[in-house]
Amino acid sequence: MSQLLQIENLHAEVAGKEILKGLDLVVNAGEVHAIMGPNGAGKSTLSKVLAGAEDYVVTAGTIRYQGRDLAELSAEQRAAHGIFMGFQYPVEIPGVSNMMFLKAALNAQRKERGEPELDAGDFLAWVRHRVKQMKMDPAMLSRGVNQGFSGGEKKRNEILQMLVLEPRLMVLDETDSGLDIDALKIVADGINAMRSPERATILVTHYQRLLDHVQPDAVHVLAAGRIVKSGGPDLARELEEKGYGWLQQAA
Amino acid sequence: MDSDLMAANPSDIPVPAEGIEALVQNRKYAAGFVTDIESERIAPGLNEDVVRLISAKKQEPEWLLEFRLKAFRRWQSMREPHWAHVEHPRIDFQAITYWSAPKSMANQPKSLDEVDPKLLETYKKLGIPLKEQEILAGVQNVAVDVVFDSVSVATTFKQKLAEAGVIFCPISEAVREHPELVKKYLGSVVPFGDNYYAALNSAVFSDGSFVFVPKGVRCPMELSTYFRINERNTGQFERTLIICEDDAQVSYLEGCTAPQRDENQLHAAVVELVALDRAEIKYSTVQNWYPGDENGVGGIYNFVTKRGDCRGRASKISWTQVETGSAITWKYPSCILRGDDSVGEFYSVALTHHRQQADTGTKMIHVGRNTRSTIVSKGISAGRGQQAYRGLVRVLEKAEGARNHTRCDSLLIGDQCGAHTFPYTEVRNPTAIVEHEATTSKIADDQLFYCRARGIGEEDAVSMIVNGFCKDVFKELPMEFAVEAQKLLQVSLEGAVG
Amino acid sequence: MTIHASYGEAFERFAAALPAAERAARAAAFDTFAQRGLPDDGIERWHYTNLQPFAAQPVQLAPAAAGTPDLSAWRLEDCDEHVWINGRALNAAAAPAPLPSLDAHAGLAGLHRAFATPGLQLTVPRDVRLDRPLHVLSVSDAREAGEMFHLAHRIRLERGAQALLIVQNLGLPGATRFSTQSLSIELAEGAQLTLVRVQDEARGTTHWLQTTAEVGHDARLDVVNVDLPYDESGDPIPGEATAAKASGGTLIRSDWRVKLAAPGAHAELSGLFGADGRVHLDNQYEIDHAAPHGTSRQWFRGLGFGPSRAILNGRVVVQRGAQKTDSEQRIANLMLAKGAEIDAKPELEIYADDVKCAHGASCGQLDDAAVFYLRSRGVPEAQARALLIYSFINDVLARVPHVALRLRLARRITARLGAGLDLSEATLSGAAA
Repeated sequence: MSQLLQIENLHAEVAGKEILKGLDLVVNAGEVHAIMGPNGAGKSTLSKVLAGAEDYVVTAGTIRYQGRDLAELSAEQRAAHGIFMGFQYPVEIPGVSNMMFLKAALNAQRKERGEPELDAGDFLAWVRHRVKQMKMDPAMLSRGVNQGFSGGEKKRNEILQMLVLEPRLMVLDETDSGLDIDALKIVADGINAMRSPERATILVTHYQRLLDHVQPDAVHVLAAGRIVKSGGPDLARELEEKGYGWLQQAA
Repeated sequence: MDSDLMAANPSDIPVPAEGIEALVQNRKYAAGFVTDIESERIAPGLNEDVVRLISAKKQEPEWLLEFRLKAFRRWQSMREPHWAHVEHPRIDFQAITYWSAPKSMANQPKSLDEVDPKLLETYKKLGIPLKEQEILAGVQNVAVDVVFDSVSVATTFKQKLAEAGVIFCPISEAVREHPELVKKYLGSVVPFGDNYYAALNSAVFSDGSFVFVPKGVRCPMELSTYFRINERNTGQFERTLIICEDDAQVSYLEGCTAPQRDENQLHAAVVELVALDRAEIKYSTVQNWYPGDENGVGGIYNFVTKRGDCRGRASKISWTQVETGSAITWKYPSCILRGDDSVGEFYSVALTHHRQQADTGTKMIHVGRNTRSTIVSKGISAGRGQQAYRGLVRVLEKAEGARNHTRCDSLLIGDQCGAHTFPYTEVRNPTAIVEHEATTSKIADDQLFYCRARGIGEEDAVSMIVNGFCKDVFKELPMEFAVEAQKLLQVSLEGAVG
Repeated sequence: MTIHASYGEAFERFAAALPAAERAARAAAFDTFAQRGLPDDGIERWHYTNLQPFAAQPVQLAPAAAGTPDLSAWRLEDCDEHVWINGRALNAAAAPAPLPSLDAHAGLAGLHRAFATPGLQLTVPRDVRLDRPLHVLSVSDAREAGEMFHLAHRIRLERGAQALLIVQNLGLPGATRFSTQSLSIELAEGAQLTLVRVQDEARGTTHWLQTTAEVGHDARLDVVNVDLPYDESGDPIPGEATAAKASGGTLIRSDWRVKLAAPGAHAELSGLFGADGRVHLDNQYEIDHAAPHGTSRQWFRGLGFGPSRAILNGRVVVQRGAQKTDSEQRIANLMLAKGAEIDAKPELEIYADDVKCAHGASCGQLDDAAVFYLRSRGVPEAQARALLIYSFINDVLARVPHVALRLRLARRITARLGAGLDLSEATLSGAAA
C-alpha cells in the first residue's frame, strides 16, 4: 500500500499561539482515517494546515503528500493536486452561482494539471449527475454559493463539490455536525462513493455517529496538539462511552 | 446640568435640604436660580481693546496676548458656519459681555475661607462639594475646580494631587505658575484659527481647567470642573487643557448649569487633550445648561470645540457625553489618532426636547497605523426638538489597518420632532475597514404596551425604555454620574408623552 | 461671481436662433447663472465637488457632429434606439419642449435652462406597457477644448403605464468637454418605470446630471445607475501605472432627487461604480418621503480600482406627516488599490416618528475567509478575488433587467479585474438549472 500522506513532528501556530505540538500521522491510499478529540485539541487546525490556509503557520516538522513537500504548494495548487477540504463553516458567496463556482474551480484545477477544460455541455452533464446523487434540487445550481443555505444544505454542498472535483485526499472537517439523520446518510453515501484504492479520507469528527456509516480503517485521538492514541474502529466506540478525559490525562 | 448631578451619590455627601428626589420630581430645571452677587463686568462689545483688557485683568504674559490678538484678527476675517442643522437668529457679538467676575474675586482669595459666602452657597445649592473634608467623609474621590462666569472660584485637593505630581488648577493660574507647559501645548490641538468659535474663544477665553499628569503617573482621583454662568448677557469662554505624558492616566468630568433667563447666552469653549505614548485620557461631560422654556425662549447656545490628540503610540482618548441642556448644541468632540495603535472613542447620549436643537457628533481622524475608533451615538428627540448626529471618520493614506465602527441610533418621541444623521466617511487607505450602522425609530407600541400591561405607567415605561436605549453609553460613565445621568434624562423628558 | 466671457458669447449666438417667445425665459436663466456662477465646495451639498473653476474657463457650444460615429459597440438589440450627439437628435427633429425646472444650485440650474436642447420627450399613455425598452444614447464628440452642450429629457408615465428606459452617456475620445443633462420624470398613479443609466464618459469630461422624479400613488420607480468612467485600457488591478498614465480631469456629478409624492409610492435606487484614472465621481441620491406609507430601498456598491475619488451621498428625508415610511439604505465599498478614495455619507433627515429607517455604510476589503474557500477549491487567487468582486457587485447588477446589457456591464467590470471569468449568459442567468 502506498503512503499518500506523511506528517512528521508537525508544529503549527495561529495568531502566535502554538496549537499543533509534534503531530505524526501516516495515511495510505485506500484508507479512511478518523481523527477525534476534544474541543481545542487542534483538529480544525490540522485541516486548515493541510489545505494551506496562510494564517496557520507551520513552525516545525514536515507534511509530505504524494512524496512531495506540501509547503511548496499554495492552497489552489494543493486543490489541483487533489487535496480537498470540507469546511466546518462553508462560506457564503452571494451572487456567484454554484454553477459558476464549480466550473471555475474544476477548470482551474484541470488547467493546473495540464488537462483540457470542460466545455459547457460536458460540464453540465458532469455536475447534474452528481447533484442527483446528493439528492439536491438542481435549481440550487443557479443560486449563490451557500447563499441562504441551512447548515445541513451547506454540508451537503461540500460533499457535492467533492464529488464534482474528484480529489485524491479528502479532509472533512466536522462535516457531520449540524446534519439530521437523513442528511447524515446522504453525506455518508457521498463519502463512501468516493472510496477507492487510490484515494484516502481524513474524517475530523467529534462523534461516533458518522463512523457508523463510514467505516474507518484507523481512529486517532488528537489532544493538546498531538495524536495521543491510535487504534481501530473500536477506539471510536470506546471514546463514545468514556469520553476524552482519560486520554487527556495521559497526554 | 441638573443641580445634583455633580453631587453624585447622596450617601457620599451632605444632601442639601432639597434632596435629589425632590428636585427631580418638583422642578424641571433645578439649577435655574440666580446668585445675587456683585460682579465686575466690562461693557458689552468686542474689539482689540477688549482682548487686551481681558489679558491685562489676568496679568498675562506678552506671548499670550499675542496669541489672543492673532486669534481675534483671524476671527474677524472668518464667516460664521452655517452647515449645522440648526436655526437661530443672528448672534450679535457686540451685545455680549466678554468678562464678568464676582467683585470679591478681584483680590484672589487664598483659601476657601476667604471666598464670598454667597458663592459658596451657590455651589452648595448646586450640590458641588468644595470643602475637602465633606468629600473625604464619603467614598467618592473627586477633586473639583469651579468656574463662575469668567473666573475660577476654587480648586480642591490641589495639595494631594501635587504630591502625586499632578497639576490641577485654573488655566489662568497655570499661565502664571507653569507658563512653559501652557505655551508648549495651548493651541497645539485646536489651532487659534481652527473654526469661527474656536477663534473667538482663543481671543477672549476666560477660565477653565489645566491638568498635567506627568510620566508614569496614574492620577489618584477623578478630576472635575463645574461651569456656571450667572451674569446676564454674558458669554462664557471656557478653555481647558489636559496633558498626559507617557504612561499617564486621568479621568476628568465636567458639568455645566446656568440660571433660567429669557435671553440666549453664548458658551463657546475650547478643550484640548494631549495624550503621549501609552497615555489614557477619559473625558466625561454632563451638559445641562439652561435649555430654554417650552416655547424656545432663552437658553444657552453651546458652541464648543473639543479635540483630543493621540500624539503618542498606543495612546487612548475616550469622550463620553450626556447632553441634555442648552437651547442649541454645536459640538463634535474629536480624536486625532496620530500615534500608531492609538485608540479613540466617542460615546454620546443627546436629548432634545421642547424647542431644543442639537447638532453633535465626533470626528475620528486616523493618521497612524493600526489606529482604532469606536463611535456610539444615541439621540433622543421629543416635543419639537431637532437633533442631528454629524460625524466624520477619515482614514488617511498612511493609516494602514485602521478600523472604525460606528453605531448611531435615534429615538423619536412624538410626531413634531426630528432626528437626523449625517455621517461622513472618507477612506483613503485600501487596508482600512470602516463600518457605519444607523437606525431611526420610535418607541415600539408593543414595548410600551408590554410595560403597561405589567402595571408600569406610560411615563415610567418611556423613561425605562429610553434608559435601556442609552445603556451602551451610560456604562462608560463613572458610576455616580451614570445614575445621575439617568435621572436627568427622566426629568428632561417630563411631559414628552401623553 | 465672474464667469468667463465666452459663456455670454455662446449665449448670444444660441439665443439669436431661438423663437422670440422663448428668449426672455432663456435670458433670465442665463442671468441667474451669470450672477450665481457655479457651485463651490463651501455649499454643503457640494462639499466634495467644486464646479466653480469651470465657470472661469473658456467654452463654446459644441457644433453638430461632422459625421455619424460608429456606435455599434454600444448598440443593444431589441431596443428602440434614440441617439443625441452633442445635444442634437440624430434621427429626428426634436420637438419643442418646455424648459426644465430644477431644484438645484441656482446658477447651475440657470446654465442648464439657458442652453438646454430637447432630449427624449416621452409620454406613455394610460395603461400602456412599452414592449420594447427605450435606449437613449447621448454621445459627446468634442473636437475642440471646452465644447459644451446641455440636454433635457422629459418622461411622463400616465396611470398604469409601464416602461424600461436605458440612458447611456457616452464620450468619444477627443477634447475636454462640459455637459449637463436633466431627466424629469413623472409617474402617475400605479405607473412603473425602470431606469438604467450607464455612465461611460470619456476622459476630460465634466458632466452634471440631475434626475428629478415624482412618484405618484402606488407608483414605482426602479433606478440602476452604473458609473464606469474609467479608461477601458487601464491596467488590471493591482497596478499603479494608471496613475501616471491618466491625464485625469474627468468629473462626473449626478444628482438624483426622487420624491415619493403620494401614499404607497415605492422607489428602489441602486448604484454601482468603478473609479480609476483620477476620475472624480460624485453621486448624490435623495429620496424624499413626502407622503405616508411610502417605501424605499437603496443598494449601492462601489469599487475603488485605482487613483480616483468617488463620493456617494445617500439621503433619505421623511417629511412631517409621512408616517409609516419604511426606508432602508445599504452602502458598501471595496477599496482595491492605493490612491483610491471613497467618501460615503448615508444621511437620514426625519421629521415623523412612526417610521422605520435604517442605513448602513461600510468600506473595506474582500473577506479573507471567502478568498481561501475559493482557493481551497483550486481557483487561483486572482480569479478568486475577481469572483468575489463579481459577487459583491452582483446585488446591483442583477437589478439590470436587460440581460445583454447586464452581461456587457459584468464583462466590462470583470475584464478590469484581469482574471478571465466565465460570464457566459448561462452561468449569469442560472439557465444551467
